Amino acid sequence: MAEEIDIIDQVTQSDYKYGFVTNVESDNAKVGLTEDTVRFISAKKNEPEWMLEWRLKAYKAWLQMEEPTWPNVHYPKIDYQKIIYYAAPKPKKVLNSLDEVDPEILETFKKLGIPMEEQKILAGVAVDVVMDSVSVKTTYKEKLKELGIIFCSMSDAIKDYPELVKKYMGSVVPVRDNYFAALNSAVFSDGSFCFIPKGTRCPMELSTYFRINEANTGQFERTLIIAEDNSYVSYLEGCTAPMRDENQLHAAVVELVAMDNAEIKYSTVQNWYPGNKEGKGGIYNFVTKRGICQGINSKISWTQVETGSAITWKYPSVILKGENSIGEFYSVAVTNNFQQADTGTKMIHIGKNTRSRVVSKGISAGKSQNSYRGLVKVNPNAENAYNFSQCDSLLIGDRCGAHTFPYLEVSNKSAKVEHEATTSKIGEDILFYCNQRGLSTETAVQLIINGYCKEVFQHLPMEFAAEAQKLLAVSLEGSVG
Amino acid sequence: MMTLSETENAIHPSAQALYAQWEKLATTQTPMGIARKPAIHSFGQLGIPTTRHEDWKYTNIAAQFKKGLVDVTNSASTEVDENQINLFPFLTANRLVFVNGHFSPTLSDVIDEAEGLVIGSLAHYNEQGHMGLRDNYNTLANNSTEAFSALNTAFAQDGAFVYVPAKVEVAHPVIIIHVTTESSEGLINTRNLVVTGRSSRLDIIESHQYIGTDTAFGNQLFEIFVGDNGHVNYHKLMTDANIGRHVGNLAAKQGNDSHFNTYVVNLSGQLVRNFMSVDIDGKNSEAGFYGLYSLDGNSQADNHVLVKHNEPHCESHQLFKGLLNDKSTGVFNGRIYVKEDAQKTNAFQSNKTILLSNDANTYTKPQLEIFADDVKCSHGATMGQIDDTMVFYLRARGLDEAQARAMLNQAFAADVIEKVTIEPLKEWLLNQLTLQLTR
Repeated sequence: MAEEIDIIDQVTQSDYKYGFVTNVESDNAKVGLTEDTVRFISAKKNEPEWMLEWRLKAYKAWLQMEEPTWPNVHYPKIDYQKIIYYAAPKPKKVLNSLDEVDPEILETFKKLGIPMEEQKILAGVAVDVVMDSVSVKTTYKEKLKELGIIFCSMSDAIKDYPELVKKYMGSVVPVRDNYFAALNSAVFSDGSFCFIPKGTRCPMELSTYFRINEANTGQFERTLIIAEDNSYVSYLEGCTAPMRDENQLHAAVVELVAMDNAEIKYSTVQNWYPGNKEGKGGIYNFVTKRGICQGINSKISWTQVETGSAITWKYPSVILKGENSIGEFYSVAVTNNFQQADTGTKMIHIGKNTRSRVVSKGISAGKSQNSYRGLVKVNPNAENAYNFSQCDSLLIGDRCGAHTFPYLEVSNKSAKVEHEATTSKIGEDILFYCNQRGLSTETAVQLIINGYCKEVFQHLPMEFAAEAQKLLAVSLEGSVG
Repeated sequence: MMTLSETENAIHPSAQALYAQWEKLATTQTPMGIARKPAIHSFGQLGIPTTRHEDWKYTNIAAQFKKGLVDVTNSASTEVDENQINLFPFLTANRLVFVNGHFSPTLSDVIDEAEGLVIGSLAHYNEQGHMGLRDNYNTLANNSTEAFSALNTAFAQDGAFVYVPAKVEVAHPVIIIHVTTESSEGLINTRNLVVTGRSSRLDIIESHQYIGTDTAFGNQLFEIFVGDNGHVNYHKLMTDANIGRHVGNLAAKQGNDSHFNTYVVNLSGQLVRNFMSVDIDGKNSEAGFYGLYSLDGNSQADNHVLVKHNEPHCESHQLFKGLLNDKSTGVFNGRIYVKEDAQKTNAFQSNKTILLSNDANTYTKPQLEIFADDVKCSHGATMGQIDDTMVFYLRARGLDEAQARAMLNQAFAADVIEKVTIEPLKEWLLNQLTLQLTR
């Protein structure tokens, strides 16, 4: 038992390993949010008139909306007039090779253990690096272009592919969808745009690393992925952020559109700064992620490993509109110290023979609160819809909380919906069994947690699976790894 | 004339009318009288919940009061034709009958006697100043959060009062029959209080019957105290074909080593809402909640359960099953709350629903809120239909399809009724279920 207490102490006391600040001069907007701020951002990015109108419409909608209070998280009220809504590294001339990228930025990625040089050579991963909102460097763009795949920053897409952006932006997450989505729509700085044409299988994992850098700047990313008929894409998103004392706001929007027989696989490893051991600082992560299975036989799969952020509010969802479409959600959410997470998914069954699967694994340690909140909705016309949900929670320490709030709404008699949830700690009998066979308690805990999360990890792309395990080890240092 | 603050009035426009009505009630210095004033203020602040209220998301209760909100408990008739009431003749039991919220001495019959045992009218013992009532009345009701609890406390005139002293085992069940004959759309408020002492035992059967009306709106509040090492079984039956609108709040509290089981059977009801909460405030105690809602027509049943594990080494079980036909709606919201340091808690919850029609809807929200780590808590929820292979199996043995399905539905629903421990009651309920499934 003494050893176990040690582990809990270590878990509770481990520090954030990725805390550092990169000194890149930035070109900030004035503090606060007014119509002028929106105009400033739009002007700064040389956006066309229609985009500015869209932003202003969102801003006006946002003014009329109220911040949601229903999530099971508590934080001091955010003063939206004290946030800098735009921060971009000083514009540089167009870059031709990696050498021209600011060495400090390259250094940042080295510290993260994701050296770009290596990635460029070895991994076959095209990285659209977003450093405080503006795309700094895009690799592999040319190669993808040959296949007709568009993978670029959102600002480029607005300039180069206005028709596609106009058609799809806001089609899955409307401007008025929720408070944070409206805010994002008004002030989004940049993000990734990805378009996979008909019959194309994207040959590499597309990935983006988001970083929050400038102190007091909210990060408002916007990602849009469109997979046309018979196409496939796997997209990776990973986050780490420097150590800060002030809370930082992150309100991203991700929209996915899958047409007939298309498949989108979206994987996230999220490790924003969670605040220190006393619960001070940390990122507020209020994200709206939603995909629509528009065509028949389409598939959208969300996989996420959430270890960071002081507050997480995130429900990657799938609207299953096309017949025979499939939605999946695999999640590991770890909270430690004073972190709070309210996360889950929504599966909306509209089309016939639609299927969805939800596997959520929560781990709470320290004094953290971890909630799963999910909705499974079967509309009256969704014949033979099927859903299976499993939500497990693991508690480490007696001062943390694990909560489950599933909503099941069924209006079709042929639907089959199954939901199960369990909450427990690692059983003493299981630890005893491992100890008896020569494993130390620490190794045993590591083994059990790895086994517990395996079902989710196996859905991550290879490169990410390794990183995810590393993150889990850091987050629960002492008990794993 | 008492006036409302602006905020109170803004929340519910008909609150003003209710105040005027409330003012005419005599507020005596009895436990019931004293509780009325804070309660009406609490209601003024809460107002009738709308669907924006998380607990009322799927039941639009505010729509029921479009024509206004009036209390008719005081003015309602206390007469009823005895032959129309189901007095449960097949059970040897103590019987308390209430007509439109008022005690009916002629229809009631108490057979068990013991020193200090009280089975009777709440109003009567309120006047007498019974100690058990004075100490416990209105101490469990959630008047500050539940609008209907507050409304009940402000207006209720009568209901059942059962006081079981320590070490008394009540030999026969206490049947509480609430008859509603009121034909207006007003509220009938009834209030019940059960206090059981250490090592006592009590079975309560509560039946709601609507005679010649389906317009009245019943608002009931039930408080139950289960003493240390006590056993209390509570059954709430709504089995008649024409149950009207009903909101019931049950607030219970358990001591150490106690057992408390609740059985809820809804076989009809235009709109039936049950909110059942239990505080397990003693160690080594067990609580069980078993519910069946088999609905047809436009019925709606909304069952909310909140089990609060406040002490270690306790166990709770919830099993709710729904069979939904026609345009009926079933709502289940079960919540398990485990307080910090309530270690070694085992809490389980299960909700299974079969939809028999495409116009039926089911909404389920099974929730876990766990603040202690050494616990085993789980919930499961399924929604589906009878497996065709099972129907085929029965048809291969000579049953027609309708018979086969009826048999499978009956078996599905009977799971809950089988939990009832009073044999004759179990038999009767199984028969009622068969009648309902074939009507």
